[in-house]
Amino acid sequence: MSWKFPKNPVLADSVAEIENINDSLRPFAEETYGRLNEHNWASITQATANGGDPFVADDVAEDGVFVYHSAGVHSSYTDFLAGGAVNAQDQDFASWSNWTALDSLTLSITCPQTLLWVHGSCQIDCGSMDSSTTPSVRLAIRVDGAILLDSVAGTAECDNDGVAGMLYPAFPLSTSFVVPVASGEHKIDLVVKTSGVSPAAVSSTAAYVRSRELICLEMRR
Amino acid sequence: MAEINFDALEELDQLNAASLNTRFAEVRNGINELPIDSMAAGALNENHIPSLVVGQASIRVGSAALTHSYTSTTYTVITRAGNDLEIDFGSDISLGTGNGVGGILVFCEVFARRLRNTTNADPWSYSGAKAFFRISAAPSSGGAYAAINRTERYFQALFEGPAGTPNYAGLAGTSQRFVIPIQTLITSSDSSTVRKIRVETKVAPDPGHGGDAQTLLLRESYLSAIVLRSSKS
Repeated sequence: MSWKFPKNPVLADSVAEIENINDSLRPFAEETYGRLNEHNWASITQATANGGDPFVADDVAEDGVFVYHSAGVHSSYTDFLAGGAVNAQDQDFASWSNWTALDSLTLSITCPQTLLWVHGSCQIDCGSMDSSTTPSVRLAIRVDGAILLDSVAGTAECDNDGVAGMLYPAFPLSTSFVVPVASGEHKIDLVVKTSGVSPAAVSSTAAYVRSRELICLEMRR
Repeated sequence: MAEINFDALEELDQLNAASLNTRFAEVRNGINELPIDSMAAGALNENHIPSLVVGQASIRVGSAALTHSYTSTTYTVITRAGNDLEIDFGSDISLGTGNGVGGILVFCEVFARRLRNTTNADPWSYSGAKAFFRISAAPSSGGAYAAINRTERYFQALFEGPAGTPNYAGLAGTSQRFVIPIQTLITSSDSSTVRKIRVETKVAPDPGHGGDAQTLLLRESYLSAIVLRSSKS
């Protein structure tokens, strides 16, 4: 959006004409129909130097610029291997699950055109010591139903052959992403998908998602 | 979207203070009611409002060569050579939109080299032992630390030889080498003030092998905090 200067400024000792008044006022009203940019707000340096009233943070409505959203779930640790109970906060994923949103983490927000800085993390526990039944787990960020493929973390490894080496039946996952969004309503959530050990057989061990958190920062400035 | 209906002056309309004030008021009221959507992306920059970041701090403890070990089954701060994995902001930070700080974004990465059965020279192939980590925050300089419970993360790692061979000799001395990531946004719902944050760890015995004690060996660990501004100061 452009700067606007009055075409016919009202000067001392001049005659005020109706058309001149219209020409001086109407452009400013029309400016607000479009997207106001940095030229439409008095800056701290220029306004102050010229005796004006600068636009400052307090001129913005509460949560108008710096807006954060977050949701978290705490599942108090219980040792599945020692017969510990599955908590109500634990979310159960069978092997070969579809991408499924984590409970109690979905963020529904309304924002202007902006960048979203999204962070998601969770604790996975398969409650197992047997690699032949323990599924692989992936975590991703989903925005308005679309999974951000570059945000996928974890592993999808599955193999019919014996696996030798390090195995992690319990582990944390985290992912972060910066995504531009248009003005309007948006839904952000964390999604998880599991893979079994063999494509031909459904692993018997579930994967549980325990404590988890989703953070979304609106980068409006 | 606020609507500004500028009622243009027509011929034969009165041109006086009242008619002008009416039109100025229309524009003024419309501008005062502009929603945030009226602003183009980037409309407010450093010449208008301050940075998103009020302050930040980070700390590293340990290194690839400087390991440190833990055997406690209750949470204790990660520390090496007298340096805790802790950030002291220097003053109490009041959280909430009325205090100028919307939250504290915290990132943590801990590099675990090995979780080892203390009784045995090497980890059991089928081990249920775990190492735990979490973020805690203290409200004031002398205030007690309180856990941010949702940040509790842990890992369980075991070795397996070819064809599921347990306790495979070829894996003797192998380390798990696992990085534990933690992210959290500390807000006023966690604590009205925050002075210090730190990372704590503990180990849990393997219930499948008589509760053998465990030793956790860590390498470098990082803790970073970004204090985020709120719209109101």
